Amino acid sequence: MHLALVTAAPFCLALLLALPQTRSHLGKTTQTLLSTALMAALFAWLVGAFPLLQAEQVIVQRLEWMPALGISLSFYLDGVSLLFGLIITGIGALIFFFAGFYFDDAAEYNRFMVWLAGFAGAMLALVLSGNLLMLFIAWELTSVTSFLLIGFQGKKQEAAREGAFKALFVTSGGALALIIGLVMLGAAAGQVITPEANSGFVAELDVILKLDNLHEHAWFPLFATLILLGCFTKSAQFPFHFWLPGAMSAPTPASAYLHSATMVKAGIYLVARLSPVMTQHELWANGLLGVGLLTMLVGAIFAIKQSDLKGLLAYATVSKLGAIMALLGLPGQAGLKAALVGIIAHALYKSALFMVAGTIDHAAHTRHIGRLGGLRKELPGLFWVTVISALSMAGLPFLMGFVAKETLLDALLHYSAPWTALVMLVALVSAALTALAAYMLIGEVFLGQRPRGLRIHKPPTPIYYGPALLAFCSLVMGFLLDPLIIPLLRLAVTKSFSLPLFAGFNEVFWMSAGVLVAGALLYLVRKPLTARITFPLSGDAVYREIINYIDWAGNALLHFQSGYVRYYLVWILGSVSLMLVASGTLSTVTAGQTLLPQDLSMTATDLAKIFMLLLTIVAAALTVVLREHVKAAIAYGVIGYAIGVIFLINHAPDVALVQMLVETMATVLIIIMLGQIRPGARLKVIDSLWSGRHDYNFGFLRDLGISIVIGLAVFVFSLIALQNRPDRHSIAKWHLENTVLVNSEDAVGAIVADFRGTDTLLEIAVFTTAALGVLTLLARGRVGGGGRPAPSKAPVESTPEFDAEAVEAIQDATSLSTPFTRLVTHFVLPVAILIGIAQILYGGSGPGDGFTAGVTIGLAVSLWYVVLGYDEARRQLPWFRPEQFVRLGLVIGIVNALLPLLLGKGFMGHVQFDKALGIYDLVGSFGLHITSSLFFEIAIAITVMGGLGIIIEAIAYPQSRAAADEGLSAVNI
Amino acid sequence: MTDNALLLGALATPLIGAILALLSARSNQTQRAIGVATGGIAWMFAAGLLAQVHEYGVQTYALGGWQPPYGIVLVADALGALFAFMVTTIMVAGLLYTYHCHDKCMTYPAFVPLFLLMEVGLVGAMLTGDLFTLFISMELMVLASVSLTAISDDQFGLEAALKYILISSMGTLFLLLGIAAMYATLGTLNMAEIAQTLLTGERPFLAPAAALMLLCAFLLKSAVFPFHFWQPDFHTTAPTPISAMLSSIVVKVGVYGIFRLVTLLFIEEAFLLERLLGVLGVIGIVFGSLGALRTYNAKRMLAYSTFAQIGFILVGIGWGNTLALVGAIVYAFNHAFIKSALLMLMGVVASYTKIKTADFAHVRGLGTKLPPLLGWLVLLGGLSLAGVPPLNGFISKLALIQGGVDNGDWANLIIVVAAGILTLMYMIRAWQQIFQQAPLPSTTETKPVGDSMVAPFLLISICLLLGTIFAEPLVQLISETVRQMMNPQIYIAGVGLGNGG
Repeated sequence: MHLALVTAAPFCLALLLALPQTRSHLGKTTQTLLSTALMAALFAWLVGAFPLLQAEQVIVQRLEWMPALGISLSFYLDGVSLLFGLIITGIGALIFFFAGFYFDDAAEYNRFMVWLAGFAGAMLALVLSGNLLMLFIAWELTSVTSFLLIGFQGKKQEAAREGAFKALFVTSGGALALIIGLVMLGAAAGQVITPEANSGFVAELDVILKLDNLHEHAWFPLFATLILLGCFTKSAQFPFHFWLPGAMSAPTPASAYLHSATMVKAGIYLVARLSPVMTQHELWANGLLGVGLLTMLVGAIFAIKQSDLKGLLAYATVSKLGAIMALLGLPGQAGLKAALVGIIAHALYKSALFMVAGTIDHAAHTRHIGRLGGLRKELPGLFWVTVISALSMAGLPFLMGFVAKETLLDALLHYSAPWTALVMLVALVSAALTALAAYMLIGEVFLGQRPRGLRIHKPPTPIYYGPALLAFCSLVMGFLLDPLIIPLLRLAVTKSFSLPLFAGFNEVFWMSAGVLVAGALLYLVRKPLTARITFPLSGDAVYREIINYIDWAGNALLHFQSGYVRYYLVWILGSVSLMLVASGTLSTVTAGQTLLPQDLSMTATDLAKIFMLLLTIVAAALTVVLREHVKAAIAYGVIGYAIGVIFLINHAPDVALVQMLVETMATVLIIIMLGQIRPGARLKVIDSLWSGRHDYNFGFLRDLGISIVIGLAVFVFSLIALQNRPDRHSIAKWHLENTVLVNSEDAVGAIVADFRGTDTLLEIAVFTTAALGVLTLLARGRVGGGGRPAPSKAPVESTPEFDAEAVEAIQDATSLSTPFTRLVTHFVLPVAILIGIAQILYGGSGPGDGFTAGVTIGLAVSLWYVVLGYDEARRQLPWFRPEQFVRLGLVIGIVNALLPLLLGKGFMGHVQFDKALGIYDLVGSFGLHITSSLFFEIAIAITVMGGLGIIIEAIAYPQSRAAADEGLSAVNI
Repeated sequence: MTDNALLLGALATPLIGAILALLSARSNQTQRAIGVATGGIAWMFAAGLLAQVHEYGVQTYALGGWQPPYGIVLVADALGALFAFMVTTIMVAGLLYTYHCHDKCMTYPAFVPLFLLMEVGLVGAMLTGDLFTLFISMELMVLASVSLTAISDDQFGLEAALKYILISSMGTLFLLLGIAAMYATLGTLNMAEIAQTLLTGERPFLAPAAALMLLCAFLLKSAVFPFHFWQPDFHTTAPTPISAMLSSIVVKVGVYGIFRLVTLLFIEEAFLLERLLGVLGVIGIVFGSLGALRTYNAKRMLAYSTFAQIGFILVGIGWGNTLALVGAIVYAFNHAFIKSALLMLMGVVASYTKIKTADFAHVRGLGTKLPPLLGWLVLLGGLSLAGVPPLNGFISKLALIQGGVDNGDWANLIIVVAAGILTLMYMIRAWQQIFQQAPLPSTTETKPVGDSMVAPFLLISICLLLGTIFAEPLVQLISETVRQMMNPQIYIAGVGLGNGG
């Protein structure tokens, strides 16, 4: 059977359990038996793989997945993976069975089992993976399922949410280090294999594990550290251990499975897996040894201080994990044997003890050690399970735990380094404290008096099966070393070794016995002892501090988001100035470049241009300085007009016309809009703009500085652009020479309507967009938010003499309605329309200028609205329906663009309809050419007119002044 | 050079759709249906285009029959086709969300046309081979998105839109200056011709300055520090489907532009730009992640998160090697899907509140009353955003890390990856707050019907299929894209301007 199927089986189970049909049709018992049977079958299959493995040592199977990234579905089965696989499936089967009786609620059980089965699959994938990246994927999948399982009661318990978050934070943080480390390792491996090619990335374990000089690679210290960091966080090593006790909010079956037997051993697995190629470097070895020993000691000390049964077990687990980590750090493979034996022993007794804790929780509804006691009479079966398992944990001969402790002490004793004595001391103290913890489990919980008020309800008998079986294993496994354990270890440990149950009364035995006695003595003074122990630095407190600092930093950074556009612009323009200066762009640009033209002689037109330029500067300054808004707006208009005049001087009258029309339009719109806001409100806003928030002078100088740099930059930029006109061909030259292709003599018109017609099409789309936005925005909250409001039916009443609003209306710049202006208004519109039509047909030569036409008519209409007011203008111009104009213009535009496609030309192609229809000469006699360009100009004109109309109507619509004022003051510019 | 009508189709379909929607303003339901249909058709064009580009190489369409460099040419190379495909795909989801959304602003007759005009701008920007058309397309996109945000149901939408358009006009200025400099000194607007001229050694004095100006404009559109200030307000207050587009694909226009700058137009200046991008990317990652952690609103959190995610992409571009560019593009792709899905999901959550808000103060614990699927989708999206395997975010992060290792930039690599934990923090916190905590008294009242979660469900499903188990085609596609990007001559020759190298 392919190993992929073995890995996939638990995932399939999870999917099966997640199906609604399963939930409704299969009972809890059926689901339990099914899950247990599957895990047992997998266990059996792995056992069955044993002879094959003995013959082949390693089984490698591979499926391609994402070769570009180096991810493959590779499987790698050797002694180490087999051992872990057996634990995952074997303990898994028992836990799955146990869970069926731990949960009373079937729906809750089902939900739980989906994740637990998913976790089992991820964990199997982790230990069977033959690809570092696939291993990492499985690694994170276990973190995620662990997160979900810890937070299983998250809707009810704050602690569960917090514990889940903490566990995910720490393990995923470590995983980030791990993934960098693994990628570096893969890249380094690639370089070691093929030193000349740099890009090889190797993630296949079977390749990596054959390398013998990986530790000489320059990157080794960095990636070894990163990988260790990942392993330490996952396996709850000091100082990252604190998440494990927090994870005890998970339902007990999950704690027993994930947080004792399997997931927390993932770090150990990876270390063991990579050690053959890493351990030659002393950073790896010493790091493991140091951190492992420290964890061993700290875990043991914390364990005896716990009042929560599961907390005690969690810290005892931390301690044991530390011991195994330290063993893996021993040079060569000296510690590997002891580590593997320790893993087996620990899996057997700790899972049993966790299930005991779960059963007690189930039976007594508390896990608080202080509230428990004397359970021996009520739960005799549980008592014996606990006695065997706890004594195995303490290391009583000849339980499995004893073998583990003997090999541990033996391995450490044979480690020769200057600090061996210290190592031994730490190991012995930790062992004594662990023994104490084991005695406390038996003594405090099962012996002594039952506290009053403690009620026990008998759990269902099958709940005992799992723990009892494990306890039995702890009991007999020591006697079955030869047939069972040693062959398994031989697959993993290449050196020859011996593993006797009892090695004689040697120094290790005496130490081991001494530890047991010391534990017993400590038991007598446990209360004063645990009260005395305080630990100055708790990992949990550090974690909280880190989280607090991160949050603080977040808050601090959010202050930059002040909400004032002017400060944002300071940042933006300031940064651009800085970039331009710092990147040396400006200096390289100016260096060796004569900025000024060689020929400085001037003609009269040049003088006119200079005058116009000076005018723009003065007008620009005035827009900033003037306090009366109408004047400022007019000054703004002057800037545009002056530039228009420059165009005119430079022989570009059509460009000048467009420029001036647009400026007029903009100025008119600004004035109309300003008329909607009360002068007082305007002045208030401008004062606040000038005064700034804190310091007037600083802000002013800063803004001035930035303006000068930007201004200079743009100035130099433009000057150089002008001085460096290309000698090479330019598309402009081609455009000038080829206007004949589109029957036009006007290059601008040809470019706008033909050569770059699509740009223009998109431009009218932009225009439409703006108009639609304005229309909807200003009409929102009126009729359905879309259509334009109807004029009020009643004619405008004359207002009483001293009505405040009427007085204001008279003072307002927009009240221009006199008989004379009315006359002019009525007269101007038809003229404008005529001019517009002429512009379209003949402007320039051939097809004219639709944009100018549209703006001209739009301006004339805006005069109506300014002079007559909204209601009057709407009544007198019923045919002026701007939204319909926009639609019409767009339709003509797009049809005109698509039509050439039917005629075999491209989108926006030039078509001569008059020639096609045979009326070329006829219309030609009127100086007309009926081409696609003409229709396009018409489309532009109608769209622009419509768009302008929409904007004018929307702005001229009388809205309450209070609303306008409010809108203005609410915005922080 | 033959014209490929698929290019035209991808660009013209949304424009025609917008006009049709404008014509059928009387029936809102018809408009929405037109929107979905248009989006679907445009998607088909883009998908076909992507297939053709990968089969036959660069595809072009000379608009009006005027050959480049004199007329405007639409160009789809591997990068452009890929981005256009991404944009149209996400757009379909956005229009689908609109179809079943209860916001008032979606009943305005201008909504669907504006939405489609935004798509015109997006697609136009990615498929044009002409700098000026790029400029107009970007303006169209900006103006459409500003209008859509201004008319949002959120009362602060108008303010945010006003601020954005003020700031955006700065970007417009930079963009125009850059384009003007190129046109003034090289006499052309065609990107292939500019690239060709700059490659053959003609170096106008303004090239570095113009590159910097264009870069600033693109950075502003992508909301990168220090051009980012407008973004949280703007993306938060926009109507749900719009904010989902803004934060996922509209910000990618800038990213696309930057790709063009460093791999096509300004190869010589690329080193300078890349160094800058690396720094800005790291700042963005730190700032965005920390900001997301502390903000008060779920949509706003996702907007801040976009800073960080764009930062990751920029760092990848900054590293500049093949693997890092693959990482950056995969990242851009995945982020588009996940961020739009998450924003829509938060929009669905918000749609159940009485006053329609995604403030944590109002949605805390709300999720416990909503369909459990919603919670799972948010969790999946969040984990994917954080790059937790086996979700699709992982491959982007992996490719990026491989690029970083290849580059040997350890300090940045470690900062960048370490900041990833912050993503996990804010997403998990938000999930726990919304879907696990007990509801507050203020969140006990909910509306009976909310927005449909079909669109985000589809997006996340696609991610889970094509970003994980069947990710190989995507990775292949992007690797091939980067191979083509690394050789600008492919683009230039595709437009018909290169002299064969």
